[in-house]
Amino acid sequence: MRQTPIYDVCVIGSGAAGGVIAKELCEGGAKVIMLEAGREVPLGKFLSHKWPYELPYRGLRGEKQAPFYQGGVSTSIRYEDCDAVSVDRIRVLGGRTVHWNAVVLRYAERDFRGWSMDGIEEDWPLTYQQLAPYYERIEQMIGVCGQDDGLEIVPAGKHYLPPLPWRCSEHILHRATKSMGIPLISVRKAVLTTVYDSRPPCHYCGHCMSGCDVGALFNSAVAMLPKAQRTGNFTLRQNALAREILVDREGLARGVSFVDAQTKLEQEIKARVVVVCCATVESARLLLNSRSPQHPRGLANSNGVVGRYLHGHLGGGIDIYLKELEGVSPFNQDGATDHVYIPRYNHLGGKKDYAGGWGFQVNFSSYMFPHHALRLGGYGTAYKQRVRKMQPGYLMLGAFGKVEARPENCVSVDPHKADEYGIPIPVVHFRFGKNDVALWSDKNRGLMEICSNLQGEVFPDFGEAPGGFASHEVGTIRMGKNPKTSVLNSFCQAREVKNLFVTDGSCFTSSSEKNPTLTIMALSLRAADYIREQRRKGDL
Amino acid sequence: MKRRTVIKIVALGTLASKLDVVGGSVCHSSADMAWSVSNYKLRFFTPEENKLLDQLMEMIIPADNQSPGAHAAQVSLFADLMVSTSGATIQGQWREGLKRIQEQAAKSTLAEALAESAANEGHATADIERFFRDLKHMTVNGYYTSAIGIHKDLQYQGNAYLTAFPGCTHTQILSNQAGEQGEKTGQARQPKESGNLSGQANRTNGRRGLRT
Repeated sequence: MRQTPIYDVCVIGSGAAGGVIAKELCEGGAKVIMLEAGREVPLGKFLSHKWPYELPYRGLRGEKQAPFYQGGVSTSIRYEDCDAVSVDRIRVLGGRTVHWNAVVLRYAERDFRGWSMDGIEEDWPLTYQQLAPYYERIEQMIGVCGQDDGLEIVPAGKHYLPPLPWRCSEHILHRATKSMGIPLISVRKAVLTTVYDSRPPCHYCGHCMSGCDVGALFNSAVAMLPKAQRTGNFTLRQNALAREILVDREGLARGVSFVDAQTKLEQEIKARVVVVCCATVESARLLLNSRSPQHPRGLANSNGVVGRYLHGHLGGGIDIYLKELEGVSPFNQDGATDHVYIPRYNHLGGKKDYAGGWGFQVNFSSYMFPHHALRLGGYGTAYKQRVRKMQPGYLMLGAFGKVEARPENCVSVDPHKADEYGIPIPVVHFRFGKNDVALWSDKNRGLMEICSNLQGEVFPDFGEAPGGFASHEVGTIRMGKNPKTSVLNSFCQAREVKNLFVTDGSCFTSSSEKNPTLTIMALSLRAADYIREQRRKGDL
Repeated sequence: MKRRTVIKIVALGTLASKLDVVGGSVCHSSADMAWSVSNYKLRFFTPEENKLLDQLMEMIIPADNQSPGAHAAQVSLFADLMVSTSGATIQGQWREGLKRIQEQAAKSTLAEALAESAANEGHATADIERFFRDLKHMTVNGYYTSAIGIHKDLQYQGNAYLTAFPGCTHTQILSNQAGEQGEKTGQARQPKESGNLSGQANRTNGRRGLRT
């Protein structure tokens, strides 16, 4: 009989966190197996450049992204007692890095110190200074365009690719924000503006969110996994839905049981270390579904914290059609979605009656479709001409605001309801808190204030109440200083199960207004270093 | 730069074929996704309903000296596809709406019937007013995702493979520009407290693109 191999490390999930940590560990000499619930969609099969009229429903039913959401992943979830939030679960090799806007911002020093700065939440168990070298390394590894703008709220690295040139609407916006004393900077994105690391530069089609068909946008499946493969230490197992992390008599992880998505057969692999990178909701689901006599409430969950503190970003933006660009000859504005960013600025004027802030991403909505046509009144020739005339002046601002990490907001699992693979589904419970609502209102005020400094027609898009999570959900298996209110130490290592690591967004203690992915990757690098060191010492 | 050239730079093929894949095959359900109106057969609306719908849609987005309108773009067939794949409630609303417009038109003209349904567009409450809103949205969605809407009317220049992005080339705008890209933005002062939340705020947050 063939001996079942024992891998040094099993990484579950192939997205931003999984890709980085697998590559690092493989390069460090570990034998790594990666389990990915989805399967690869090769770049040549991406539908990014398809015209709407080449798609069955003109792309209005998400046909371009549909190949990335395999096996009914979008429907095997339930929202219960919930405000207007949704979580973005994907199932494809590369995870959510397959299609994203790739805004990569470092957390500022204050973003790790919620309790010390504002008296809410908790401080992280690590500081900006401790993470800074990893930010530097990851930025160089993935290739980031942008520049150092000298702003403390968005700490900069030393190595950037040339920033994206600003569009006309962004110059006009800058004029307005400058008159208000609000900084506006070139966005930092994991989009190549030159050939870098054997990957080609951006071709400015504006389809980042449908997937980059040349790999100029950072995609874990393109930029990380081939490097892991080159070491000869990497094994990829696709179509593998992790059901449960298995434990030995001492309660340490010994392997993973998974269901093959195609055969629906259950299999097991053995590993000395397990790294969970399935994204916030799925990672919590996996731990909660891993019950054993040693861990009756779920793996590493004796304090009941796994699944709690779910949060993400609140949103709401605005469309403006600038007078100055009205009626100019149509020109190609696609670019690489966002080119500029308005970092948090509400802290510059002293204390507020709420904690946290927001940033504005700019122009990440498509230029192909005239969004205002759905909101302008009237019809007929005059209406049609008005739509046409306004279209070149399109400017959009999308806010991403901090949401407070609160224990009552959580992911649980429903033991009586399973997905089509027989794995109990996650249930999301989420309500915005007082701080969130106060921040959201002030953010809307700020947005209208910027618009009052712009000439044009304004269409607010922030609704009656906050909504989320903008695909930025975090916090369900948090790291922390206090063992009663956290699961992981600062190296993403579970306190109760020393050979279990969680390096995706679920490890966040709290969230700032900044996009989480760069921090997820920096934490994954740091965890990889730690695992290598511990393995060398024989502790793992 | 041609797409092929771009891809050649990295020679990225199918990753899975290069990786050491254990178990699980790679399969792609890449059925032909192209949708053509050339031999489209009505699935939901009757030919009479389709004719009425076509007329109404052309009134909403008519041909003008720049481009053909909703009729030439065959937006009513797009509507048929969308409605035929919707639930029974939505299907009933479309059938009923067209019937109501038809009845009104019999008393006056189709143009007047449409104008009446559109009279309260911003605050649609009556069924017929809600029908107008749905009809207009369907027309907009269908027309501006058609080849005529995208290329002839809006003359959209994008969805291209560029070797460089020029940024703003309108010199008037650049000369109005107080600062320049690349300057250090430095510390900012607190903006004035002003502005309010009046105006339309009736859309939800989780809309297109709220994801980065």
